[in-house]
Amino acid sequence: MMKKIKRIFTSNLLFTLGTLICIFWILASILAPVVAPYDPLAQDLLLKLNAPSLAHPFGTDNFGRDILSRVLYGGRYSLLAGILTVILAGIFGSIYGAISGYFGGVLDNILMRISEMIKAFPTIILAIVITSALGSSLFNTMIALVIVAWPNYARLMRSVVLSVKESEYVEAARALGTSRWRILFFEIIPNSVTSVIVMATTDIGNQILLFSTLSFLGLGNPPPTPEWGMMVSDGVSYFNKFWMAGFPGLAIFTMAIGANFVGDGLRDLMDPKLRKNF
Amino acid sequence: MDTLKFIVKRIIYLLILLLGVATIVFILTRLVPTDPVAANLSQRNLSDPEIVAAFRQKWGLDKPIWEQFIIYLKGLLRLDFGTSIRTSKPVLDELKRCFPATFELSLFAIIIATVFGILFGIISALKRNSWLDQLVRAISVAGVSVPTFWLALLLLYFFYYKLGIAPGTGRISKSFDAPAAVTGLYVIDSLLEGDPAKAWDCLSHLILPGCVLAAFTMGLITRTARSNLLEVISTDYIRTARAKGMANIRLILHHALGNALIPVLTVVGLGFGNLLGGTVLVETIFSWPGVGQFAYESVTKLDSPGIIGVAILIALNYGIINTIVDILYGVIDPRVRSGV
Repeated sequence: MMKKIKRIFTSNLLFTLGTLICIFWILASILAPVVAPYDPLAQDLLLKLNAPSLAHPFGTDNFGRDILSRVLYGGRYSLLAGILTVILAGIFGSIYGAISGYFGGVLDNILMRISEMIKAFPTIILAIVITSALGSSLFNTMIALVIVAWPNYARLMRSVVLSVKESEYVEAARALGTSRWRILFFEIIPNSVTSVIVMATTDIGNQILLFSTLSFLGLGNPPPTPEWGMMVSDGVSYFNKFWMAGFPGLAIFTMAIGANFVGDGLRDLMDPKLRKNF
Repeated sequence: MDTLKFIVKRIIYLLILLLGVATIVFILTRLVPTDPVAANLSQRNLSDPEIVAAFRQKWGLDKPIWEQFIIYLKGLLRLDFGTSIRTSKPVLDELKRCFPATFELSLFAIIIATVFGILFGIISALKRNSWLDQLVRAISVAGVSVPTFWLALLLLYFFYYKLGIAPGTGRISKSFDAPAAVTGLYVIDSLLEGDPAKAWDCLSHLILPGCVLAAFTMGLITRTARSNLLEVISTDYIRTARAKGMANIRLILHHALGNALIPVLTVVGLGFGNLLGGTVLVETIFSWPGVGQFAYESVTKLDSPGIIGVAILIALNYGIINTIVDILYGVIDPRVRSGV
């Protein structure tokens, strides 16, 4: 087992790199109170807009707050939003798609048309409208992300369920007189869930990006929360002070790229056709 | 006959989709707790109850919600999206004004994304697992991971502010007048005017926002092209061609690429539809007077006719592009046509 894991890490450079990046950000978010050199909210107007230096490696912002500390704390919100969105959208979308695929007929048609209507919206515009309708807070932003994200899971789950429901063990369960809902939740969904999990891992990066986009547009937590997207947007008005927008943006970029590398690697690993090339 | 039936079915489906989208947007815009009156009237006018009542009556905000919905649907049937509360102009006129700018930008971006995406995909598949492959894969993942707004700021900072080799924001430099609208696409209109210097200026304004907009779709196209090429390369007919001693490049161009490109077409189509949504950020940052900027301003001002107009326009686009892709699918792949 250990040998196998070792081989996976040594043969796929990008997967290894992604794992390291993810571990780094998870640790940074958990340990932020310990490793951050300053209080992320402490203002010091004498120090405002200082360029990166030994005392402030990422410089300071327009309120004299230490950007490195704010970036370290900011990881918490992005990680939380990315992971929770994927979990909630994955669960809701999977159940929705499974019901649609399993019962079929008119119900399937209606359920799928509804999910397509949501998919026909450009993601960002739908998320903006929902967030502005609900009011901006971390929780509401996440709800908006879930509403935008679940149709993808529903479609995937439906297509998997369509093939799984024809398999012999489902037939056997039906012959034994098991109820339809029991078959759906205890036979079909557990056997269809692998591809949803693979999709979810590759989706975390997307959700982190979308979350930071909403936060950039001013639809995340209210200030002074150290959220990465909002920090980049603060930096827009100080265009020549590159560190204000530069470092928080770099943080979003690295976290998203790490999540994507890991997601890609996992997908290759789970797909038997690609496994031998891993 | 079958093709006709297919197209009619798609159009009916498109209309149902649009009705659904219109309903969802209507509900959402009415859910917004903030009062559009407060968002659009000045502080002084707000304190005058007569002005507030007149404003409500003018925009139908005083009627019950279902009545507002019926009026709104009737308007949509006549292609009347109502009047923008923010600019006091008909939304349809605003969209007509904005759309060519967005279309030009998206078209430029999708061309860049497709050309480089397929090229990178081929290189990556040909040199599988080499350092070149790893590099191309890293670039494509970077493309889908980079926050659009950050990339836009980064490029502006380096190429405009630091190096001064790219023009700033907007569609055209101040030293030129906008070309007379024929197609609405500035580059083409400038050429029609016989002014290559102006056309070049417009084209150079397209480069930075176009690249930012293209990054995500290019990443997707590279990945799809690579994985499909790899799949096709492992098929028997390619192995036969290789056994006959055919050179790798020729093999890819003549035999593998055609088959591998079919799924790529879907990604290009969907990508083009998504670009229109992606323009919200790019146009806001690059002051590009298009649909994305209009959408952002409408949302921040809670201008519901404006938001609805944009949503329907984009859903319509998405539907039309998908239908075209479906039909093209049949043209490229005979198996789809015969329904096998």
